[in-house]
Amino acid sequence: MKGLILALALAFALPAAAQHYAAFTIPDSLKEGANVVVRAYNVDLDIRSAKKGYLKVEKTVTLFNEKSSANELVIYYDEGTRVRKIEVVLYDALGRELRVVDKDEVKDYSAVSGGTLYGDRRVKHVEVRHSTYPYTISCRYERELEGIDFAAGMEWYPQEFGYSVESARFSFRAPRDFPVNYKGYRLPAEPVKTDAGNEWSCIWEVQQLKALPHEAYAPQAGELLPKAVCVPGRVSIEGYEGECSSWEALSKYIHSLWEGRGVLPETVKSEIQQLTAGATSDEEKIARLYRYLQQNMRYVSVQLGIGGWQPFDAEYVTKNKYGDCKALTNYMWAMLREVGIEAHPALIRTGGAPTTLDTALVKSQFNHVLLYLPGQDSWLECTVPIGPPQYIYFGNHDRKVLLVKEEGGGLYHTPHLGYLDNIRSGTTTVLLSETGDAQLRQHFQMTSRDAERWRAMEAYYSETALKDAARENLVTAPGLLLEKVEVLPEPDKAACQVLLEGKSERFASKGGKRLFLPLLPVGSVGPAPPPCENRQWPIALREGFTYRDTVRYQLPEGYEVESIMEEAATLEHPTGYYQLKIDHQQDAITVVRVLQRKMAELPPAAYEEFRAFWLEVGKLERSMAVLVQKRT
Amino acid sequence: MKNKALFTISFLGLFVAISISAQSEARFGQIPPEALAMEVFPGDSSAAAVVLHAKADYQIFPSAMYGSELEMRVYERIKILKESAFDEADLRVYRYTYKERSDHLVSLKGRITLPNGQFYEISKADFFEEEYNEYYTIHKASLPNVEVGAVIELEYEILSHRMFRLPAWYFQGQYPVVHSELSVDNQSTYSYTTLLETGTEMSVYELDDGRKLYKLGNMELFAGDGHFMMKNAPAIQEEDYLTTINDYRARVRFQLSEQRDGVIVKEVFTSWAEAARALEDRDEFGKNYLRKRHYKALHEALQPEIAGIDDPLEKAEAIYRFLGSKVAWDDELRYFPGQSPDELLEKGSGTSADLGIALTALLKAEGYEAYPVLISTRGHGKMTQQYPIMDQFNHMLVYLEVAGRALLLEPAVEYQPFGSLRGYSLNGYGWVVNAEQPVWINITPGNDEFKLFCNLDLSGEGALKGDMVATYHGISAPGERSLARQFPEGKYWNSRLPEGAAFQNLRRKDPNKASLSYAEQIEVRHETAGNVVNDYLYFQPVLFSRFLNNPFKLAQRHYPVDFSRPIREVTLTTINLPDGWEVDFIPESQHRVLEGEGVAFDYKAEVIGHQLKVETRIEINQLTFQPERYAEMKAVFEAFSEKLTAQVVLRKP
Repeated sequence: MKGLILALALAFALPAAAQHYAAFTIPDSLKEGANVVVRAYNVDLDIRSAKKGYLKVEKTVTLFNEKSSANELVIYYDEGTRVRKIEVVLYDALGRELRVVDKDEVKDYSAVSGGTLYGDRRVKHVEVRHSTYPYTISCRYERELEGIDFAAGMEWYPQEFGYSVESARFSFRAPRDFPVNYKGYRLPAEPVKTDAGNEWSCIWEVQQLKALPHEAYAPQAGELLPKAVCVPGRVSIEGYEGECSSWEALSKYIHSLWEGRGVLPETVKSEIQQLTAGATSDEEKIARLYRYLQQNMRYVSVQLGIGGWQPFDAEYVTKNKYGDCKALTNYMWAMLREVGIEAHPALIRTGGAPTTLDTALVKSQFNHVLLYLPGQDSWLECTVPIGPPQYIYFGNHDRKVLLVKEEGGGLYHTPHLGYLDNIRSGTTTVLLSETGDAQLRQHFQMTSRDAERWRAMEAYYSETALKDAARENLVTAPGLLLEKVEVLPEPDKAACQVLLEGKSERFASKGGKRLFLPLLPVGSVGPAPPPCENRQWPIALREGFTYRDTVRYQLPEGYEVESIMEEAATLEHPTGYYQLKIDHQQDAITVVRVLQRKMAELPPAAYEEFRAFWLEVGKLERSMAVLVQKRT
Repeated sequence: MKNKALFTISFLGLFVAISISAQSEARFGQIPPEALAMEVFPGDSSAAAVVLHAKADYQIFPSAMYGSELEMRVYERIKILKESAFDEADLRVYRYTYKERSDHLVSLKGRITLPNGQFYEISKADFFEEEYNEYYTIHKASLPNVEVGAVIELEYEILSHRMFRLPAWYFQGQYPVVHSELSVDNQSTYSYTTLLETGTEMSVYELDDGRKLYKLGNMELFAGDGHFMMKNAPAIQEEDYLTTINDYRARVRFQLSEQRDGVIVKEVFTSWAEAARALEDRDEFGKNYLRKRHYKALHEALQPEIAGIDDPLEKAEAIYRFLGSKVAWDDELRYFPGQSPDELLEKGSGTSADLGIALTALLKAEGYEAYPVLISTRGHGKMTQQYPIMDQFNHMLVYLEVAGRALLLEPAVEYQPFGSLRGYSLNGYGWVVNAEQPVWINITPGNDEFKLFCNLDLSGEGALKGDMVATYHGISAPGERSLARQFPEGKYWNSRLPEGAAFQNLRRKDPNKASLSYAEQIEVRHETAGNVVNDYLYFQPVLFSRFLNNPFKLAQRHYPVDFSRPIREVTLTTINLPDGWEVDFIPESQHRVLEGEGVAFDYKAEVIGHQLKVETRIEINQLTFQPERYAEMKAVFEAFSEKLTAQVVLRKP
């Protein structure tokens, strides 16, 4: 009650503007689970034409602790477009203005990612520091939008995990008859659409959104948080005009950007003819040209203006022997055309777990390109200097792609790599001494996901880094000194072998007359899922794999097994399968373990059971045998 | 503490002009056939690339426009031996471009020569210019046709008139180096002092021509007047428990020491006393805490907070707390302030130097003896006391004399305990900015003590449950409090407890208090702690220690281990054993001391009645260990880890 009286007294004592941002006016329901309360977040997009738009952003947030980065304003933009009227003001807990951030505190950096040699992406960044929580930051700015940055459309998220919202708005307006693709997701109400004279508009408004928790093993943020998306239905970039009214139209437009850029120099053409001469099948021609690309061209990314969507031409790649994903794909496409093999570029969002793409909303949401071979119904990843042809990489599997075709291509789906594709199967032999020291030899055969990873590590890692990776992923033994790591990728298959040799100074710990022997010195699945009370989100496992290991122990003379798990253990769950079998003779133990992680989507209520299963797997993974000195 | 000289530091005095002698000839585009033919670098067969030749020429000459100018010509030649070094074909040159002080790029070119002799050359126009931030522009290009065996060359020339800072030259990097040299020819009115650090300990020889030769194995470093040349230097790689790898790379740094044309250049110092005097005279430095008009508003705002406090120590702490609550630190470490105390108050945040200057101002205004102390943090590298090089510093502490004690204070930050330092400030010593007595003081690290008390019940099925109390004293307490603020639910315990264990009912002392002690209590439950097989129950009684896993994994080490602070850890575990079981085996007690007593541990397990008590204790008192003692030291940690993970065996009678 006292607090209320004080709050009321303060409310009367402060000017109206200050009350607006005072932290004490926030209802308790919005503080629950919130690190940040969004007081207002208004984004207004003004689409002027197929070429250009203007964006106005106003955002006021109250921070309750140091657990968010809401004290930073980050504005990405393209060189050549303007960001104007940046204004940032800091208020204290009572909503009193503390200071207006100076213009020179807004830093401007290049936002070119590490993998890109050159690009025109930039970022304006300002970080406001204050020592006492809660405090409020209000910021606003305006931005010009042009080029692919404009054409790719706009996504508005009123909240992030741990943010509640008092009030937020997203609107766009466009000239009359100018088409806009738009859609709201998980927003409480439909947008209000208005036609007014020469323009039309659409507004979403939300109020009083409670904070949403961040939970492990949940689907990606983009599938959980409320959002609204809008995309200009017509685009015009550096003189290239097109439509975004359907996937076919978008495909046609991208095709127009690629057109005429695949002209190979005559010398290359004749080289290609020589290279494919004598090849008896299309597969063989594809393989030879793909190897040629891998051996001669290097991935170097340059992203300038429309260059984000348009490839450098084949001549550029011929001259420099490098290019980005578009340039190298275009080059491969041109080479295949030269020998009469049909192919189409396929735009994709690469990396991470498969993401869902809403087929009902036409929007360019891709960051990479593959080459699709309709005759073979297979895919070429043109940026990797190693690895087999016609193989779908793990970062590209199981997701929607847009085929680029002159007449307009549609959406396709890449193949799935599941737990029966991503296999690691290993044999470990352990020669144990009576002091507990051991000599270890391991031999792994891997396919798909792990094979890709080890093949890449072999090419790019130093020996020390390879040993670290082996310790992290393949072998777990105390005091381990790895003497040898040999990685043997199979050139024509998505397969790889890894051989390890090492010694462990106290593999089995000694206690009096006993040796305590860990039974599975091989890399496993890591920690079990963490506890999660009142689980809110579904469980989403989007990576499947199988680990099959056989471990053979040669026991030291004078020791026998005192205790060991005698019966096989088998566990099953929608997210995995586990089996452990142990067999022991007088001087040897053999352990066979199969561990499968399966892709699955389960309701929140299934979390406890899911966790219990993996805890039980973890316990079996830590199984031990106890050896004891034989009585003489 | 035994302190073996690790660095050979050489001052080559002031040089004005030099005659360049014994310089190697390596011309752009002229690659010797043996370099093209090389498939493996004989000195290091694991190397992915090798620097065949690196060379910098600094020409400093008078200039009508700027007084003096520096012309810097740099040439690098790198042989690619593995695909993992292909990125070396992506050329990058950083150029300072801050407003009117911008450097000028006179020339720039790159070239790749393939093993068959074919080559591709690119010129300045082929490079992209990227405005990296307000201070630097990067010139970037990618050489075409890179393949294993190729030789990459980069040559550029930069004209600069920032005479206060000559760029340092590093002879070593991530790849082995065959040849690296630096020449400095100074015809200007500025003089520089040169500081050569060899990184590792090397034997020194005086040569007949007056040069010095530093030698270790076949690694050689020649140092003459304005000319330095290193040959056969191994690759340098990061290791754990290091201050910074830069301390172990051979390098040459410069400090402007004299300016002779009558223009007053304030940074030119020849002694620490002179440097202190000059800093105190600077408007941006000394005047900010010596002249009231720079801190008037801040000082007025302080008054209500200290009214009625008579005890000097209490008052000093109140001043510290006041500043910490009033202004925020922007996470930037600086030794030179960018704003006055009153400007800091208005803006609400500032760098470590801004905060340090404001603290000094308030303490002095209240009659305390207080001075700024400049240091280089551990990550920034070692300091030299022998010559006043200001660029070596990157952080400011505050020296305070109160109640007959001398205290060192971190710049006031809300939760920083008064009189305590952060881990990164523990870099040995600091320099007190006091013109009357400009001394170097030792920074003695405080203690770091961790204690864990566990009171547990073991069930006949192998489940352990009970209470754990963790207490922290000293330097790690503020860090733990910060973790507690960041993760109120305490999820950091998940990674500390054994796999399969869970905790609840976390209780803690106020994590917002700025104190050098802290405690947390949890109820822990570990259902799968023990393995019951047949008539035996096996379990590991120690649930957590910072040393369960040996932190030292490398077979051998090239650089010293540096712990930064003395460490003490004690764990005391009491376990009530289940009825119906008797003790079959407990690990033997052990006391082990590393020769010289730098590290010692004890392990004691005993059964009293139906209770098992396990006490472990480790003390690390020696802070640095040379690489030659690594194996011995590693073995002690290995033995301790073995004890901590040792199993107890119960048996059904």
